[in-house]
Amino acid sequence: MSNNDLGTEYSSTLKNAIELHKLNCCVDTPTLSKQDIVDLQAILGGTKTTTIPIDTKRAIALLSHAGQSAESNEILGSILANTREKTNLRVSAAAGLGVSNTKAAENILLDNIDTTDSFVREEIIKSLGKVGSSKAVDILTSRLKTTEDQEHKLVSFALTAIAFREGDASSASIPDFEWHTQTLKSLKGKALAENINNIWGSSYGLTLNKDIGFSATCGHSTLGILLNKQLSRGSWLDTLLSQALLLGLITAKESQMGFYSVRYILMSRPTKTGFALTATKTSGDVALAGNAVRDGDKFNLTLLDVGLERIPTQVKGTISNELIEANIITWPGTIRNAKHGNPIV
Amino acid sequence: MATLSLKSIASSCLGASPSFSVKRDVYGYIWGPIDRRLSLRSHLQLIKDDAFNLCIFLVGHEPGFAGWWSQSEAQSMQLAIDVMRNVYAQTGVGVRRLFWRYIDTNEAAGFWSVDAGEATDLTEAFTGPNNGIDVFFVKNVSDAGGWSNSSGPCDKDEKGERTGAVLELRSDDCTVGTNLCTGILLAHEVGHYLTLKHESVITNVMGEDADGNGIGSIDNTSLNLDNDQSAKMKKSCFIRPSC
Repeated sequence: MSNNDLGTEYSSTLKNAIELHKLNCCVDTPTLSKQDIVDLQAILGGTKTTTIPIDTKRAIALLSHAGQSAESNEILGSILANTREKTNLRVSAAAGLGVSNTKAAENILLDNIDTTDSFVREEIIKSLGKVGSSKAVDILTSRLKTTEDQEHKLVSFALTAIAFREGDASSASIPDFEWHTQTLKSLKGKALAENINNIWGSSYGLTLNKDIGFSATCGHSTLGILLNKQLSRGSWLDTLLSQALLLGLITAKESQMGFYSVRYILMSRPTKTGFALTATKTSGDVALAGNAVRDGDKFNLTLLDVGLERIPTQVKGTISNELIEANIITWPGTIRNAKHGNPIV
Repeated sequence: MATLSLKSIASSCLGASPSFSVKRDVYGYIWGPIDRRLSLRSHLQLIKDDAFNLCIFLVGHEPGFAGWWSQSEAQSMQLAIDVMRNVYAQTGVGVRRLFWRYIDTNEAAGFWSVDAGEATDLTEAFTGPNNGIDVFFVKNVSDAGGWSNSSGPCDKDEKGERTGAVLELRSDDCTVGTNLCTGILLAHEVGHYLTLKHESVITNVMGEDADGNGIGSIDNTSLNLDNDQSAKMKKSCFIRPSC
């Protein structure tokens, strides 16, 4: 084993790329010459040492991106297999093998998939999703039975990616969620009057239509969709197409209480092709936005949530002068994360 | 020399109540002892004028350090912020408030190690108070030391782009005990967010991009910022008004 000085024996590009006290931002993978790659392999493989400290994670990432070859795979594999090595180095080695598009990389990943370090295991599975073949299918499939949550999700996705890559789309487990659809129900009579008469706080100066409203459920709460009195059956479109309007309010019945709070304010304004529509939170944040576009004697309505709602939501329907029909369509899968984490005090 | 009132600045700039602690409430250092680089006088002068707030997320933390982070690692983050404060002090830009937050291990699933795309996912899924720059510490960034956004958006609820800096703690032995490397990396990534671009000298915090390929090199000497950079940073929407 020779003892080379990183300061004199290696190229400045390689030195700059792996020295402990340096970093390239934001992409940390400069182009290396053939000799640089040979030197890098020797340093990471332990056949050459350096007299000044290197950042091993940077070196691993560099080898993964710049030096793809059987020799590089072998070196990354030895780091990955070394259970005494730091987790982040093993994770980086696993990620590196996912960049290498070779059978050997797949074999190394499969050889290490039973590691007890869950972070390393998850990175191996992610990499198998990138480079794995039919050879990995049985091993990954068997893990579906014993894993859950994050790892289960990664295994499922890896299997799907492999299936598509291998031309076996029939076995790809494409998520088969169906959006949950509910049709707006008509709200009238006593129920409508009770809602209108029991709004807690401001109704934004609106006189509400006591002849027709709508209701829908949202989780555990029931929403009331109350319309401006200016909108009356037989002339809905005429009103919507002629002026900007506070169209109505969406209320929610407070649980265990006899009143309704305003959750959203509906607003519309005429456009060249019909009218635009928003549902705005009382904070002023737009929650749903969309438009209605003419289709013969009716208008097709589409509203999409803009990302504030925890459950992805869309509204689709039609409006004519005589009829309003709409469905609220919600995503039944994973809801959006709460967005602000937790304070540390 | 102008008089600076600790009580007045603590109250008007930091919202600290009368019985405040200098370390905890004025500097925002909550993770144990630290040898501060900036004198109290310098720090007060800086946070009173052109300054920005920082929201630091520990991705995968649990109370009692039962998650992915140890107390010494949290202290390293704190040291890195102190290094950054010292670096930015030369431009007259202060780091005013530190909002420390965490994402528990359950919600942080999938973010132990991130690449560029996952860094964006992380900043899309989580944001801190909208008047501070978000910094997410993850355990590993697989394809860089850190990721940020050049001239990051002022509204961190923007979808589809990275709305904060995502970085890892650099190796402990990168100038042992000072955490200089993580501090410089943090200053570099936040500098991007505050509109700064790579430079042509290695001793600048924004690093050297000699061949103009968009990759900047920094090392433990990358500690300087110049007047032009100072002027650019002060125009960022994240710079808070004087208090």
